[in-house]
Amino acid sequence: MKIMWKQLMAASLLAVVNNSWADNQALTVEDCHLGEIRSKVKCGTLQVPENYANNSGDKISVNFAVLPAIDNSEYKAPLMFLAGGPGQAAVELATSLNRVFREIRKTRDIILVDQRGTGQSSALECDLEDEEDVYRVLPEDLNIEDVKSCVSQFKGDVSQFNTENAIRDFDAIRVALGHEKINIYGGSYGTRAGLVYLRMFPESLESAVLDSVGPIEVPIGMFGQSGARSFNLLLDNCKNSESCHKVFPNLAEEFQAVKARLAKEPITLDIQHPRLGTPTQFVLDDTKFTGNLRFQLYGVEGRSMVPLVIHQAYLGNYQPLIGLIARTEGEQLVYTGLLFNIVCNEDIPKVSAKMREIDAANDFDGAASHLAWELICPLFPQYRPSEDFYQPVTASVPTLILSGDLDPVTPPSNGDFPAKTLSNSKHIIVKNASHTVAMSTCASNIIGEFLTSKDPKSLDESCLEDVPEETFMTSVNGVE
Amino acid sequence: MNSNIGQFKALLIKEYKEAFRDKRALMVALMMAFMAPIMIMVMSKVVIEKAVDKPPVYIKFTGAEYAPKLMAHLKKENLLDFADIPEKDKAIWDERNIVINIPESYSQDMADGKTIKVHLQADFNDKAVSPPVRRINNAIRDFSLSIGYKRLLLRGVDIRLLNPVKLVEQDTSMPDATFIMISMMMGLYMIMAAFMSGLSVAIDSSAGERERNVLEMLLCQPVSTLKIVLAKLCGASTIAVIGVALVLVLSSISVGFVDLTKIGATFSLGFTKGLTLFLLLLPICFFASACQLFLAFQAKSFKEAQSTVSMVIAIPAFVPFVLMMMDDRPQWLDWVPIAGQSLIMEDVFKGVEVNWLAILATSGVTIAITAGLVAILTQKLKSEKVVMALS
Amino acid sequence: MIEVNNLHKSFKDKKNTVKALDGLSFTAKDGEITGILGPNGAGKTTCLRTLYGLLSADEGFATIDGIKVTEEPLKARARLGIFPDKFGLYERLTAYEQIDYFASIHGLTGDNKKQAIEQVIKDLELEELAHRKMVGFSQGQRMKVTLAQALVHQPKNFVLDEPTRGLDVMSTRILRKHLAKFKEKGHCILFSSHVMQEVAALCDRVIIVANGKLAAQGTPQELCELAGETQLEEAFVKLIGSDEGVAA
Repeated sequence: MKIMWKQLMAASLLAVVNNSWADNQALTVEDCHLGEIRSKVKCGTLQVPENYANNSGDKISVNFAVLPAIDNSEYKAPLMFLAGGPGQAAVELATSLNRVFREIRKTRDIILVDQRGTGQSSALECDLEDEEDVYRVLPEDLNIEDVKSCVSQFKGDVSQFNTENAIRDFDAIRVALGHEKINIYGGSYGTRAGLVYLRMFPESLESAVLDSVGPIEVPIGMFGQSGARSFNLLLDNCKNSESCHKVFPNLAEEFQAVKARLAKEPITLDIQHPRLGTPTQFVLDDTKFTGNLRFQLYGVEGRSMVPLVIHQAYLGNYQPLIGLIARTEGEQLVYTGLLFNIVCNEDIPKVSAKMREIDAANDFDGAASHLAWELICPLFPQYRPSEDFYQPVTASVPTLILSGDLDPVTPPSNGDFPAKTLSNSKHIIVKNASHTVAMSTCASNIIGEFLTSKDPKSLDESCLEDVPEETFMTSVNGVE
Repeated sequence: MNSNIGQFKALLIKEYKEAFRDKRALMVALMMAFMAPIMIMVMSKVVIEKAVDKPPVYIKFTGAEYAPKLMAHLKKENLLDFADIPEKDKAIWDERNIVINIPESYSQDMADGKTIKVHLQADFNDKAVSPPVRRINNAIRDFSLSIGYKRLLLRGVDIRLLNPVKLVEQDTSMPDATFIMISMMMGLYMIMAAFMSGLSVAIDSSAGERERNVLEMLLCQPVSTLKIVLAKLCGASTIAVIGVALVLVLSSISVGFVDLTKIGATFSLGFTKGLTLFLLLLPICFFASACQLFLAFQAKSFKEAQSTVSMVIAIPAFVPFVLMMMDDRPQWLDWVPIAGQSLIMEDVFKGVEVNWLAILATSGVTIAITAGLVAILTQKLKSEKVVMALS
Repeated sequence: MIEVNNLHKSFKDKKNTVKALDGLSFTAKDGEITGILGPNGAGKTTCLRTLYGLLSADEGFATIDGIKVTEEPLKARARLGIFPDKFGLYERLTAYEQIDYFASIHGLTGDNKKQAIEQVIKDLELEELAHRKMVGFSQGQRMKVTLAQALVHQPKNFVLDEPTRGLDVMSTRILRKHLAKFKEKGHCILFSSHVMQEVAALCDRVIIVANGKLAAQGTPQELCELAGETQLEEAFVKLIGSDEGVAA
C-alpha cells in the first residue's frame, strides 16, 4: 500500500501550486503537441552524464520543451522555467505556464526542463500496488516497508539526482539550444535551483526572477511557523471583513476546537466516494485536517473556502473538507522520490533540534509538517553537498525577487536573504497574494517588463496594488 | 557630352515638375502608400478585436444592487453598467439598448439554492448586438458554473465529475501559417504599390502628352528618343519608388501599433528588413514604369492607355497567387520579375537569411528586361507608326 | 536655308496606297519668308514632318542649311525653330519654365540660356505672363509662348505650320511683326498656310502644292502673272486646278 506519500505531500511540498553544440547527437528536437496547448511546440531530449565528474559514465536523458516565441523576428534571450517541489516536472506544467507567460512568450522562447528525477527525465518512481485512498488513510499510517521497497526500485545512482547536477543539466540544455545567455524564472523550490544556478553559472544568465523564495540560508521543510503566520493572517482578514466576521465570529476558537476534538479521537464517516460514488470511509485526524487546510493556504481561491470549511467541520459537517480533498485526489503533483531525495539530503541535515523546537511552537499545526521528513528521510540513500552549497549566493545578475505576504511556506522574510546578498536585486512583496505570485497576479507582466529592462529597481509595480484583498465564502450556496 | 547631360536634366526636371505639380494625380498615385497604415489598422481592428479583444459593452441594469458579485464579475469581462458610460458612446449604446433585469429575490434565491432567472433584453436581430449578447451569455454561464462547482465541492462532490469529456484541440498548422498569409498580403501590397504609384504619371507623360499635342513638338526637337524615354521612365519610377518607400515606412510604423501576437501571428518590419525590401523593390519600380510607358505609348488614346495599363496591374496581383498554388515551381521562376521578388520577400518576412545572390540575379533579370523595353520603346518612338498616330 | 528635293512619300494600309508626296521640290532661302500654300490633303503636313525628320521620304531628301535631315536629324533639328499647327503646352509649367525647357533641349545653359530667355520674353512682351502657370492661357497667349519656345535658341530656320489658325487679329499682327523682324535679320522662314491674304501680305515667295507636287512657285506677283489673274486667290485656284479646300 502506497499510503501517505500524497498525504504527507499536502503538508510539505514546496511546489508551484497552479495547476554550437558540443555533441549534436545528444540533442533531439521535434515538433509536438503538449498538454492543452493548441499550437505546435517543440519537444526535445538531451543526453547528459549521470555523474558530471565522470563524463564517460552512464548517460541519462533530460526531457525538455520549448514554447517558441510567437514573434521570433527579433532574437531575445529565452526564459527558462525552474519548477518547484522539488519534484515538479516543468514540461507537465506547460499548459498553465503557456497561459501565465503568454505576454513573455510573444517575444521569447519559454524553455521547460524536466529536472532529472522528474517527468520524462529518469523520474524517481516506483510501481504502486494500490491506488491510495486519500479519504481513508491517515498521515501516520505510513508503511515503512513500502517506502523502502519503492526506494529500492529507483534506477541509477540516486545521489547524482541532486540540485547541482540538475543545474548542470539546465545549463547544458542552454548550450545545446545555442543560447549564449538565458533568463530564468524560479518558483518556490525553483528559486533554490535558481540561486544555485546564479552561483554556478552566473555568466550564463541575463537575469533571474525568484518567486517565493526558498533561500540557501533557510532549510526547506520547516513550515510550522510560516504556516501559522499565513493562517493567522487569514483569521485576521476574516475578522476584518464585515461579512466573514458576521458569519464566523469565533473562527479561531472553532478551529482550535475541531483540532482538539480530532486529536483526541479521529473520526470515521461512511461516505460516498466523491469521484466513484461507491461507499467508502472518510477518516480524519488533526494532522490530516491541518494538512489539508495548509494546502488551501497556498492560493487565494483555496483560502476563500477555509473559514467555511472550518465552521462546517465545527458543526460536524465534513463534506466541504472532503470536496476540497477531492480537487487534487489522484493527481500527481510532484515526483515524491526526487522531493525526498533532495530535501532529505540537502536541507533536513541542516535542521537543528533547536530549529525544530522553535518551528513546532505554533498554534496552527505544531510539528505536523516535520512528520514526513522524520518518517521518510532515514529511508533514503545519503549524499551531502559541499559546504560551498550552503554559502549565501552572491552575484550581480539582475534579479527580481517576489514574495506573497499570505504565503504559508516561503514567507516574505525568506526573500530578504537573496535581496541582501544579490547586489542588483529588488524584493517585491505582494500584500494580497499567496505562494508563487506570478502564477496568480499581474506580477507576470512585471516580469515581462523586467526581462526587457533588466533593471529590477525601476519597475512599474502599480498593478500589484490592484490585487484585491482576499474574500471569503460565507455560505455553502455562494452569496449575493 | 555636357549638353547631353544638360538636355537630359532638363527633360527629367520637367517630368518631375509636371508629376509633382499635379497634386490630385499625385495623391491618387500615392494612395496605395497612405492606404497601407489604414489597411493595417483596419486589419488589426477587425481581425484582432474580433478574435481576442473585449471592447466595453454597456448594459442597462435593473436590480444591480442585488447582485454585487455578479456585477463585479461582469465588470471584469468589460461588461459595464450603462450608468458609467462615457458621453461619446452614450448614443450608440442607448440605441442598442441591452437590458439586464436582476430580480429582487436574487440574494435570497442564491442562499436558498434556487435557480435565479436573470433576464436579458435586446434586439436579437440587430447585428451589432449579437457579439455583446454572446459575451454576456458566456460571462453569466461562467459565473453560474463557478458557483455551481463550489456548491458541489462544499457538498463533498468531486467537481471533476462535471467534465466527463474534455476536448483538447491540437492545431496541426505550422505555427507560422497565419504569418505566411499576412506576409503574402504585405508582399503583394508592396509590389502593387510599385505598380500603382507610378501608374498615373506614366500614362500622363506618354499618352497624356500625346493627347495634349506636346509630344510631337518634343519629337521634333534635337533630342534623342532614348533620352525622352529615359526621362519619362525616371519620372514615373521615381514616383513609384517614393510610393514604395512610403508604404514601407508607414507600414513599419503602423505595424508597431498592432499586436499581431494576440492572434498568434507575427510581423515586424525593422530597418534592415525595410531596407532589404526597398532594394528588392527598386528594380520592380523601374520595371513597372517601363511596362506602363511601353503600353501607354502604343495605345491609341489616353482612355485606351488607361484601360490597357490597368489591366497590366493584374499581373503583379496574380503572380504571387499563382506561385502559392504551384506545388512544383520550375527553377526559372526564381529569376522572373515579380515572381522572383515575391519569393525572396517571403524569406525576408520570415527573417530567413536573405540570399543576396538571388536578389542580384532577379534584380539583374528585371533590369535587363526593363532595359529591353526601353530600347524597344526608343525605336518605336522613332517609327512612323507612332508619328502617324500623333494626329 | 531649307531645301526639299524630289520628295516622294506614300502611306500604305491594307486596302490602298495614298501618295502624299510625289516628287516635291522647293527651296526656302535665307532672308525670305517662303509660304507653302496648298489645299487640305495636298501634302503640306507630310512635307513638314519629313523636314522635321519624323517621317522619312521614300525617295528624295530634305536638307536644312545643307544638313540632310535623314542622316543627322538631331543636328538638323538644332537649326530649326518649329511652330506647330497644334501647339500644346505643358499646362502645369509656367511660361518661363516651358521656354527654359526648350532652351535647355537646344543645348543652352547657364547665363546664355538666361539671357536668351529674357530676350525672347522681352521681344514677345511676355513679362507679365512669364511666371504664371499656363493652364487657362488664351489662344493668343499660347501662341506667344509657343513662338517664344520656338525662337529662344535663335534658330536660323523657322518653320510655321498654319500659325494663324484660331488667332485673333491682334495676335496675328504680333506674329507677323515678328516674322518680318526675323526676315530682316536674315533668317529663313517657311510658312505653311491656306489663307491667301496672309500669304500674299507676308511672303516673299509662295510655293503652291497640290497632290503632293509642286504646282507653281514664285512671288505672289509672279504667280498672279503666271495664272493671268490679279488676285492671288484666283491664281491659286487656277494653278491647282480646283477650289477645293481653299479658304478665303
